[in-house]
Amino acid sequence: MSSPAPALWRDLLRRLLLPLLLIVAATGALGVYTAQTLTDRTFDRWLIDAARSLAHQVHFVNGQAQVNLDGDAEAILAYDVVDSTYFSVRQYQHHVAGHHNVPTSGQRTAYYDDGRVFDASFAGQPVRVAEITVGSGAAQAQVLVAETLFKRRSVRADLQLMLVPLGGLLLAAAVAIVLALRWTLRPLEQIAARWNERSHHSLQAIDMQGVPRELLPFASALNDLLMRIHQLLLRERRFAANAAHQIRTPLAGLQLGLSRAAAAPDLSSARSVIAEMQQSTQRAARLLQQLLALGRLDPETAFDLELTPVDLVALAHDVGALYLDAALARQIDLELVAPAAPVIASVQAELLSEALGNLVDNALRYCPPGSRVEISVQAEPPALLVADSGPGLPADEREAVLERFARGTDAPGDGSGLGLAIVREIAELHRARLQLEDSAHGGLAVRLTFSESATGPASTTRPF
Amino acid sequence: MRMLLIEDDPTIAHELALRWQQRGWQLQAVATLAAARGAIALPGWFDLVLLDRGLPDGDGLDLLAELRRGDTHTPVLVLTARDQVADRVQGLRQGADDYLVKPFDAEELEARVEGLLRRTAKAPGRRLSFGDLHWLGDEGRACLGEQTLELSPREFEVLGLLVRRAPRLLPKRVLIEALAERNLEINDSAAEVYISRLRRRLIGSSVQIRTLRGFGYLLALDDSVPGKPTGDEA
Repeated sequence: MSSPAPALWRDLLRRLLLPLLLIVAATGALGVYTAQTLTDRTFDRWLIDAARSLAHQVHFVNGQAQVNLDGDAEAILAYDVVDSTYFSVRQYQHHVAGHHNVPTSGQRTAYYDDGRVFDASFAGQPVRVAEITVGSGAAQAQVLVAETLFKRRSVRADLQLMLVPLGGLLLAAAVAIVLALRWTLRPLEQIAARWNERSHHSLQAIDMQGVPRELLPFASALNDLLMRIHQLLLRERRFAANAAHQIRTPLAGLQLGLSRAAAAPDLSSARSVIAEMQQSTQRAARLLQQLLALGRLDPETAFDLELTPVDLVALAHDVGALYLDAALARQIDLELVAPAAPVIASVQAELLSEALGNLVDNALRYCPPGSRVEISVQAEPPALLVADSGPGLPADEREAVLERFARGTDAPGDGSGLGLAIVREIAELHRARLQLEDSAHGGLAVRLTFSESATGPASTTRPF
Repeated sequence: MRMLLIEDDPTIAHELALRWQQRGWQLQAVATLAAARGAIALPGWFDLVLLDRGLPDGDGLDLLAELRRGDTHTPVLVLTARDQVADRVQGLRQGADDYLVKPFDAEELEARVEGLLRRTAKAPGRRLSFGDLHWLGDEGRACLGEQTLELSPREFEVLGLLVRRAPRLLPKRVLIEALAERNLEINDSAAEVYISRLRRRLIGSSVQIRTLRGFGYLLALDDSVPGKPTGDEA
């Protein structure tokens, strides 16, 4: 197994839920940060106000700071139900009044217009300390007010609690997305299942009713495909029926011959019948070959016909060489006339070999002994020509012999009528021109002309 | 004669074995490429290989390619039901010496086998005859009837190639390549010169050289001239 097929369901879910999670996380983080800043700022302000109230009680006598603080004032200053407050007045690093050892520096220092506030620890507890400076010139003193953090913390916790509903919102949105996806994709799955089941049963077109608009292209593509397969099947069936019929004829001949041989009065006449039947076998075999060749030439072939630049001279030589024995046996001169340089055309070498083979075979079959059959290769435009000195074919029959199972009226008995049909169909697949004309040698000439090859001689290849 | 038949149809193997027993030809039949690989392991053991293409474990042409890598001499006749023109061209291209399509006539097969055996005779110095032409490889001379022909060494080689293939075609390409193998470098037109010289020397005999334009040359018996037309070996 390679990577699993991409599932719409999973992809959509991932692409919707991930951004949602990120948005919620960012909002939460921003909320936490804002709550922290807001509480810090408000409480710091209050702490500085307290320090300023205290500062009013600081007087300078000959530059020495003095604090007039009665018990009530101190109580008011320090009053708080939740937090403990401490204060200290210092001058020139020396304690003047209030609590001893209130820290003068710490972390998370925030600066305001009239003082600074920082975190520190006092009397074993974390505190926030505000420091302001009073007086001017040489007469200066620092006022420090420290406060424990309980109030701040509870306020911050309250603010953060407000974020909890956001989590709930996230959950609700996620559920909504999942349900929406489910409901949207379910019809899709149902349609796919329906199509799947249907195409197993028959090749009939599927019903377009109730198919979502987005799926219509798929549905019609599927219908087109089903129709093409259907037509292909019909054609195959017709072809098989046709072929069966055609092959029955030589078989019937064979059977007749066999009964004649069985009934023969003596061995020598039986032998002569059997010798005849060997020819019938060959004829049946050739018919089968041609039927198969035609079967491979259905219009569907045109869709995946791979044309490559091929040297027609080499192809004509190789194909012609296959028929030399047959030509010698029939006492026919088979010749090849070709330029010395390669002639390149864009063709499918196997099919073109079949076509040329059929042309040569036809010429050898229909020409009497002593005739001449000439294969020639021509350039500009690339063309193959098979010309013979045989009986020729009347002009009014030339169109008809290109049809399947059609034969010339004067044709001798052993042709199947398929040879030229094969050539015609191969020519059509190549968009090549097929012409039947009078041969310079007195018989028939068949010419296959190809469109000028687009590729240069650099890509010269031998067939196959 | 020892022959190897690589063919998965038992009827054909059986018929041919029976038929060739009478001729004194030993036929060893194997049905798969795997078995055939073992049989051809010893180059030169078989005088001829008959090869089917559609075998249960693959295409016979693959075996042919393997065989030709180590052994270029043993003649191979492809015997197959693949009858497309392109199949035959491909078979010959891959190094088959002949190609016969099923169904075939047994006598046709035998004629081709004999032709192949003659063409690829192991001892190049054998004596061969065609009509009244006798090519005496061991003596380095050829004669028409009783009369010795005056031939240059190259003409003698060319005639040998023609006789070995007779009555079938000697492709021009094969002629040029064969002479090149014996360090007798000739080109297209020189080949034609040798052929026309030989043709003149054979005037008056029952044997003549025919040119098949575009393909090559072959020895043919001229029936109009009296002689004893036999294609058999001397």
